[in-house]
Amino acid sequence: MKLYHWLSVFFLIGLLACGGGVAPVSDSTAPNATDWLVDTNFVRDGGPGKDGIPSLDFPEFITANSVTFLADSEMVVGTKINGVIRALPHKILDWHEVVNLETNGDNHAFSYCPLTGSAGLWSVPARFTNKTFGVSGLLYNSNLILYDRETDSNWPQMFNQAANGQLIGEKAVTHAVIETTWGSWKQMYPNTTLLSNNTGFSRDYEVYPYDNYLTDNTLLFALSRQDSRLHLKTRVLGVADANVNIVYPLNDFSINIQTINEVFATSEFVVVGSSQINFAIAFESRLSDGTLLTFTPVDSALPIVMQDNEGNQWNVFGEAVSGPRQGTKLKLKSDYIAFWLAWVPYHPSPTIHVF
Amino acid sequence: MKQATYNYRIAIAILLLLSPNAKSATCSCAGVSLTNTVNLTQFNAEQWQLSISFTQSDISDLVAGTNQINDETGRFRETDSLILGATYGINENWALSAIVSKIEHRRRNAIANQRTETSSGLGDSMLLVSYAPKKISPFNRNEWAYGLAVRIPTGENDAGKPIIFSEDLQPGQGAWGESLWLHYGHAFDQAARWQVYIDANYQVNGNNQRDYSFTNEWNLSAGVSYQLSDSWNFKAGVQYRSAVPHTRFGNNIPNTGGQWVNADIAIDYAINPATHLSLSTIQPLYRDLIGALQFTNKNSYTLSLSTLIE
Repeated sequence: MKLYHWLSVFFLIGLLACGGGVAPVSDSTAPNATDWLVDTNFVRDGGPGKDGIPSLDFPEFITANSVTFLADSEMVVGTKINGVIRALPHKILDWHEVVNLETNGDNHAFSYCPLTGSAGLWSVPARFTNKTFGVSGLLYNSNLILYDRETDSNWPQMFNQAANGQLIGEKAVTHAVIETTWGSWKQMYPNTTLLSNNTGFSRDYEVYPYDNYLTDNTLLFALSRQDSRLHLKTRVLGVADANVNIVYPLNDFSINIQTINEVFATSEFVVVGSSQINFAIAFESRLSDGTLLTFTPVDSALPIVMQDNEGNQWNVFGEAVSGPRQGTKLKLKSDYIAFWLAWVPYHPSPTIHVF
Repeated sequence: MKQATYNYRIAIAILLLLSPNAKSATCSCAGVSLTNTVNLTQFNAEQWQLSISFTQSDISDLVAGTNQINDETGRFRETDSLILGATYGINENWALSAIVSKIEHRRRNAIANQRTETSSGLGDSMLLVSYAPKKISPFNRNEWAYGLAVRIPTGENDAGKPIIFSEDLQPGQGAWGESLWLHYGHAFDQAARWQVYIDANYQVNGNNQRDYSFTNEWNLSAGVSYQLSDSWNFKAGVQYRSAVPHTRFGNNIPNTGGQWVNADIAIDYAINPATHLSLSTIQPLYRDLIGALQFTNKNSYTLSLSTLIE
């Protein structure tokens, strides 16, 4: 058989195998460029695919006394929902990122992104039939993008709203979470429960899945903005609104509880934190009745962390537990505790608070 | 003499069509081997060899170090690669080869409503020059060959727009690369029914437009082949592969790189002295992978058709 005949045979086979062309084919249900509220140049496929990192859906929680797998120095994220106190350890969250919670009939989606060091708690809309969120497998500026299983819409965690899909633009209802050590959290809430490591998944929760990422000064994905003033993985409490864009590095708080009363034009808030207890949070200091409170720290009385000029004492969730305003709850001001690398793309050129 | 030469051509053709030569195991990502059909010694002066091969790889084993992990996400991850190769013998010792590819990746997790994500398109290509100073013949039972190749980023590497798929789901790497091969073969008898081979290969890959690199790896393979009859040949070998972690911005990507040991088994049928049909499989024997969780080959199967053009 002549050479050109063989070449023709092979070319034909190749052509048929290619379906007559080499145009790329992508999943026809993937989001398209015109339907995102964030810059798609910085939305990336993280690798595992949708639900490749499995969420924990209504998992088991165990009492603090029965915990054997978590040291007091290890980090947890604490929640208080309808009076129920729970903690979720980083070492499990690093592997699952989204935990769907049900508390006395209310549903919440908890999320933690190991690449941006950010934790959040959202209410699941009551109208949803499927009341769970999952891990989309996508990242925006390295930040986890959740998806709701009701509509398949995509919600970048630190964006706090749906950025793509049927619910595009809908804002998440956020709730305070306290990121601290397990030992500190037990001091605050001795009756807490903890997310069990019996999750139903075969994962070694004693191993951090991202090598040296937690401490090194490297990125895994490109960011829309970077700022070299701080180490990329510096944990900061971020506060941002129309008047202010400021971060408070957690390691710079004093060992004892510290309060910082801030006034920027119409932005009035108090920041409270401690480097030893390893927590920080911010609340609006002007109440709905127009009263502007000023706060001083309270040590050795956890979960009470501060007292105001009226004599009210407030716990770490911004709830007045004693005084004339007992039962009042301060409005959450801070957006996230996150790595410095994560704050900058959302809020460029922030002020770094000098302690 | 003429019959001996004929038998040797069959034996050599079978060995070298079956031998991995520069074949590298499909890595735990999209690093598709382009060299399954490259032959470093099976050519004659002014002669063409054409080949087409189809490989299906199941990349859904989840491994941490040496331990296989139960995934529980119902993950499905497969890659199909179609590779066309052409080799031309410049003279008895030198040859040029060209390879083009078409790649399709598929990914699905059962939790996510069974929706499959697919990336398909032209893959990377390769140009190879090989030098075989010694070939097995009725008068020579040993052969040596060397090969040098450049990997050309002809493949699409930003599939999935606007949300670009992960690097391991791209048809092409998007980066230039180079490879170096060494080959040794030995026939145990004059009929060359029993043969052994050893191959070594080292690959270097550059950065793509997103500063991602599949970095470097080397492969060592050894095996035996036995000519069962004039038409049938069987081969069994072991491959060892060692890959360093991938990088982005020069930083190691977690859960990439490691060491693999695979069994490489093939059977070949000579349709005629010049045309062969081959079925082969790669099965993992041992893995020691870097990181806490890495997806890697469960198995792969290849069907090849090749022919020598006089």
